[in-house]
Amino acid sequence: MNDPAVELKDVSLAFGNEPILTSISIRIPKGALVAITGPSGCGKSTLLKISAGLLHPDSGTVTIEGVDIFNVSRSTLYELRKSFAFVFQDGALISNLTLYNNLALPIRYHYRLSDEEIEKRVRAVLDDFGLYTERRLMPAQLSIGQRKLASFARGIIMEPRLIFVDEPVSGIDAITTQRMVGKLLPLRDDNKVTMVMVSHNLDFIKSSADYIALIYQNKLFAYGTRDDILKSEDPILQGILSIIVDEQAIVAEEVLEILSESPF
Amino acid sequence: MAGYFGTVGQWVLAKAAGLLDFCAYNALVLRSLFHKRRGGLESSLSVLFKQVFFTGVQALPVIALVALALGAISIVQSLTQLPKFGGEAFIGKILITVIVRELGPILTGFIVIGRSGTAITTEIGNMVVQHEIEALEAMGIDPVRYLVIPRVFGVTASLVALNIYFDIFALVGGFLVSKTVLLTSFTIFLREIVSSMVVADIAVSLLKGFIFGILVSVICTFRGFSVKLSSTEVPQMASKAVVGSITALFIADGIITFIYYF
Repeated sequence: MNDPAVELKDVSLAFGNEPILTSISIRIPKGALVAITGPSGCGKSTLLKISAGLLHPDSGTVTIEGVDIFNVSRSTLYELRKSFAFVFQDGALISNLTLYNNLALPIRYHYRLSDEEIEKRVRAVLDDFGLYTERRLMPAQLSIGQRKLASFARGIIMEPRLIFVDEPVSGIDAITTQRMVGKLLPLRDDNKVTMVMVSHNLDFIKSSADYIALIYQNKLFAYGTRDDILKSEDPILQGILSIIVDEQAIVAEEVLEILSESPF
Repeated sequence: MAGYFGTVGQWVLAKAAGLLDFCAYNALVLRSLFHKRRGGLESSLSVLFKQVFFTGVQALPVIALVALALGAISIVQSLTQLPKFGGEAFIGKILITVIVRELGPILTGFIVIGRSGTAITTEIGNMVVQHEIEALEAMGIDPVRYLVIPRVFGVTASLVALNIYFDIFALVGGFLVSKTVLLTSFTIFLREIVSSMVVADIAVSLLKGFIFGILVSVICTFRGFSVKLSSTEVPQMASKAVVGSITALFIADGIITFIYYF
């Protein structure tokens, strides 16, 4: 395993007396796509936020490219984050800005570029994501899938070296999933970009991840290459994998089943 | 009895923790204000202009209406009460003291709290709940620099300007009543006002507007960031922002007035 892009050492977090994560240590190699998975409520998204420095752990350290992110000044952390992207599960677009201005915001904030240069860059990304016609819409006017795509577009407009993605293909339709995967996979193949992704979708993980971190009962149960984890003969590990389900996909299947039985 | 002391102790500890949080927040705002950091100016200016437009420009009609009414009421009360004590000569001085020094800044502050303070707390609170603040952090955008500093400047500048605007309209309201009842000419009214006014009146009024602007913007943004998890906290924090801002305004007003007279 080469130099880590992100390294977590003994990270623990509890809300009151309720443990959320217990002593997690992971080394995320540069240029890899690491999928964090596990059953619902096991702390995957919390771990992702801690890895990106958005949430403080009770104990443990997180280093990104060698920098201990919880022991640096705010300005150093903000400077470091210029080269990161975090794609939120619900998009988290700024609600009082149009889609165009959401994408333009990080460029305007970090660089002194002319309006023409900003427009050129935003337009290129919006075109690439098939969202240019929606550029004047407010986030509330976009569908969930469009919001997710826009959040991803906003993340990669700064050409990040490190991307954190929370449930990229959950709760969106097949076409949007295809578009999202179509944007994610080329980044995975780019050795300069490291991706840390949380997902329930085992099929997607099987087809995309280089490494898998399996969280179970607030602990890191297993961490290794995709083949190490998926082809493991450990019955407990296989048992945990079998209970990881994309709940929204199951709901969709149940709805389809009900509809197929309907006399109408 | 032990239970009672325990409850009181917990209340005191919670208040002390809240006060410490507020002090830390002020330190953060001050540090962001004076920290030399590249970039962000254009985005912050855009937020500043929007804030000045909302707090300053859009408040002009309601400020004008309240000021005209206050000026008219003050003159009516003065004209009916002061002659009983032979104090007609002090009408101008009373108008200046009551409107320019005291009620002008306080009422302008109340209107800004009601219109903009609650809007600021609600907007930031909703941004917290919808993970927009986290999104800003994740993009390397300092939320204090991007959201708070422009609001502190915008609200403070607007409050000072609205204060002057309020004073002018209140005096116009007073003049309209004087003209109707006493048939006073504009020249005489203006001479009376100008002769009753000293530089300190204007200085105290502007100082109050400036201090009130900082207090309202800092308290309301702090309350917005105090929202943690749920959208039901947003109206609770908006209510706390209003009560906190009004209390702070009265305390600051009392201190400034006390310092001026003693």
